Amino acid sequence: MTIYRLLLLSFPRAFREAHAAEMARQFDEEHRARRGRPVALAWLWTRAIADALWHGLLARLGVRWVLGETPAVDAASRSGLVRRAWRTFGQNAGGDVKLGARRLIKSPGFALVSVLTLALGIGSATALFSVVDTVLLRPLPWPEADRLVSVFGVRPDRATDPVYSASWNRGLISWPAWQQLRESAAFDEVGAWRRSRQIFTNPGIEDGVDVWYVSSSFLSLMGAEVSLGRLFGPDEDGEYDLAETALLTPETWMRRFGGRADILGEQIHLAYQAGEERVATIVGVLRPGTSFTAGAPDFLLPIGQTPPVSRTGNPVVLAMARLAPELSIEAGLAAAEPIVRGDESPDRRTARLVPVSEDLLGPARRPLWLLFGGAGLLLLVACANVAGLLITDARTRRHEIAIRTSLGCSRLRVLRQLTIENLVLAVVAASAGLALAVWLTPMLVALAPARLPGLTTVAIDLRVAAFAIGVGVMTVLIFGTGPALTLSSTRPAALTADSRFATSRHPAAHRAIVAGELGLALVLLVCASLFGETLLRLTSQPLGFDPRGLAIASVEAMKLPFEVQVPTAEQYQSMSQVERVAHHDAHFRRVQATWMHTAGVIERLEALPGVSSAAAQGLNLPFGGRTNVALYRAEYAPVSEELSVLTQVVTEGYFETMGMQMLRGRSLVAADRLEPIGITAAGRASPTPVVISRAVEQRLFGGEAVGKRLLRENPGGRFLYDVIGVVSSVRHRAFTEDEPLRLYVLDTSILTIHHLLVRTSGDAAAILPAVRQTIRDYDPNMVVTSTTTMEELVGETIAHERFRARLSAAFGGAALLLAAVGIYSLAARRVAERRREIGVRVALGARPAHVRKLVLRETLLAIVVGLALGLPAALAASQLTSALLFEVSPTSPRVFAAAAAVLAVAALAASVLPAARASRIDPMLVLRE
Amino acid sequence: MPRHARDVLPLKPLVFQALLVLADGDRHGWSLVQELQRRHGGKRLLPGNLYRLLNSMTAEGLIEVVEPSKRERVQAAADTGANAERRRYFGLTTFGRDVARAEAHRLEALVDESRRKRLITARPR
Repeated sequence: MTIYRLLLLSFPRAFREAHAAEMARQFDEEHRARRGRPVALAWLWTRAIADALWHGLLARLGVRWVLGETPAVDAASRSGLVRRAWRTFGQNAGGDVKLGARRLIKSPGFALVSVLTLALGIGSATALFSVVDTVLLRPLPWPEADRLVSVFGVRPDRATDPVYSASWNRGLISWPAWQQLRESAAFDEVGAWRRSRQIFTNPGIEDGVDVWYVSSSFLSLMGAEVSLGRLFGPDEDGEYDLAETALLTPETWMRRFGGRADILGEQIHLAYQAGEERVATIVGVLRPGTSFTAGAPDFLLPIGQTPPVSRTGNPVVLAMARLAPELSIEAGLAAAEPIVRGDESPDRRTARLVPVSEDLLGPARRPLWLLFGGAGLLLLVACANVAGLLITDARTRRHEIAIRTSLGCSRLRVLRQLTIENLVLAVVAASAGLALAVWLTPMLVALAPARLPGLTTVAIDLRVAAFAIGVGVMTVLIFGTGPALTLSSTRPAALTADSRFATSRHPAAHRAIVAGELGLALVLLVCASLFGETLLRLTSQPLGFDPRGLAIASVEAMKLPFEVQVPTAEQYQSMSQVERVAHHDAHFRRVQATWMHTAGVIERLEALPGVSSAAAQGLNLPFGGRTNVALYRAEYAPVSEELSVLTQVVTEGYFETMGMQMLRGRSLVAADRLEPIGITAAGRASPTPVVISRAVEQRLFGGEAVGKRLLRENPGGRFLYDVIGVVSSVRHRAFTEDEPLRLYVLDTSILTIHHLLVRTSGDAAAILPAVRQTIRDYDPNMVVTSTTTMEELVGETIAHERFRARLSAAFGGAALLLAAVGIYSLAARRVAERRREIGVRVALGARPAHVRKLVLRETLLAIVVGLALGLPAALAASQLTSALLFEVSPTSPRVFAAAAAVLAVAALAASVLPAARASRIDPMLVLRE
Repeated sequence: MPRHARDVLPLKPLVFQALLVLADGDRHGWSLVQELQRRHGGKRLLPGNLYRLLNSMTAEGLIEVVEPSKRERVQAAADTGANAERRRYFGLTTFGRDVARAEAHRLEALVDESRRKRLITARPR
């Protein structure tokens, strides 16, 4: 508060004695209310400084604050003040604006370079500001969002399981736990929701859609309102047997129903899988602008419509709650923990409360601020460049200013003229920067990872425009004032000296500015190299398969020609031999039919031009986002050694299609599948042949596994699996995760195909329409819910890294360019200043090489100083990035050396041209001037 | 300085607001500023602005620094701890009350006139 007390010195002493303590106290209260919010604090300080200075001035002038009409004495003092200010700064300002515009037009080179340079800096800073502003600075769009928390069920026992690396602490909670949380006093409101992927089968349409089951309280937490119809009522939260109802999002309403106003009461047809069908009645359309914390659904259904069977203790819903006022997260957690845990022990299940703002923005905050910082550095480089230009420009104008002063122009008047000229430059540059930002922002949004919240609403608005103009004016004023001050002190005496040959008074200042610019460019280049290296290292991680040229069609499995009831163990035991044969026969035919069906579509797909192979698989597509595991252990191993293994039902040819590597043993062949005889509820008569990934071999067997057996035990029985081969480990979710455990089995008793994979020699994206059409032609009942390429799926997992790498590379490149321009202008200016000297040297016998060396030596000095300044700064900056790096040390000497070398080479290259020009100076011409 | 309340009309809106707030009872600066911000629709009132206002109002004789009543002291101490003892309380002077009343009458006359000229139609409630 001492600083604020100092500010109060602007008030008269009597005023301070009466009020300073109270004022400081009020400021303290304001300060405390913003603790932990740096932006709000900065804003408070800015306003408090303005407030103290302005009102201090008015208090000193004795301007009273009470009456609507000012007493005469105040009016006099105020108008006197205004008149004085006007005489100094306002009069004939229009003329100076004209002069400023004329300066830009008369020297188009100067105008073009300085406007472009500033526009580049202002444009990139503004574009990033628009993103930072929308994503980080604006309040989240939900009512009382600061009290919103996500309540996660946590499975501590899964923390080390590679399959659950991303989801173990972000899990669901059970239905009863949700009901109990609603009664807890710790929460004002608790909403529940769950997502599901379903098929939308209205006549003429078959498409995969995202359906969310939500409670009425969830809708109220999200501040949802309808533009048509009604929301879900609390009665729809619980009853399962009510008629199904549905809400449309505005996007679905427009896209699928043409925004018709008479939509209420119409029916939609949804299905979990092809063949089955449910009908729901549309009861409302959400208002545009309604947003949710996790993406957007196509349809919303009441949570009461989830089957009652899921209302036991199993975790089935995601929970979101609003904490009671004044309640801390810790207190909320203490209330929620016993409810979420239920009967489990704390090491099996526990709760976690995360504020929604943290959940959504936590991981995005630092990288975005860093990138914004990068844009700020680029802006600084641009400013330094313009400062250099202004210094050079000032030198050429000494003559003009000297004439003005000799004709009686006051220093203040000269200063005003130069300042207004700079302001004209600033406004032009800021407008150009704003235009650049308008163009850059959509590109930035397109490049940015889609997971950033609120990204779709990023736009250049008044706030952003004000930011651009403000930044432009501030930078030019700050960087232009120095040269203007120097220039305005020009005395008429300068006229007597031959100003054309006078070396300027501040070559050192210019050199320091250029050196600083190089230092800043080094910081940006180092960060860009670190992020680039990270991306490179990430993408060169072995995936275990080849994603290139791999097209994926996700399908909902066809309805089977006939159904088989799988008997329980007791039922099977009590069957007669005849019944057993009939059962096996039916099962065999079912398996056979499914197999033929799947083989048929694969055959058609393989016949497409450019396709080398195709295969099908069930759940657990790598990078497909969904996970389904079972616990396995080696035969004879204790239960404690069980691990979660991703089980994948595949067709033969899968490993070739995926481009996986067979490490040991043999691949799966048709013969491994055709063993339906002997399948019982109690288990197979003979073990099922499986191929396992290398990770399973290492973690469950600890060595050579081919020929050994895996065991899965569950209430349904004991199942044994013969390991016949080992393949490379395929990553499941990210480049950086531990190798997940996978097991591949040929399509036998589990009969659902979820994904068809097609390997092409060409572009995978180009073949997607043909793949979709082929499947539809083959079996209209097979619904293709989505098509994509494996490269796209894999790419999404590194979207953040790619965004950072690209953006920082752009900043680094721009900084490099600007630094080169800066060096060039310094060298060119020095050559121009030393023309006479160089001419004399040449006349006295200096060789061109000597002259070149003379010029290069000077820029070399700037480069060395710049690098020396930049290295520690780059070291500090790279420490900030260390959490975002992968397999690259933030102090990697290789990266630093490379960045420094690139910068030095570029800077030297930029000074070669002026040096060459210097070496061609004709002494005769110079000496005659 | 014997003056008529009419001499200082019209008041600045913020001054009138402050008089209205103080009409309920004496307040210290921080409590006054919070109430004013609430009435102003959350618009921030920073210390320099506020205390120059209070200073001018005191100089015009509209308000004065008063000894807080015992009840208020106890209340304030419970609110913010021992610090509250040192707070300065402001209260309306008789002149201030007259001025507020005169300003209210002035505004009322304006509203009446607007109503007569059918600029606004709402009935007085």
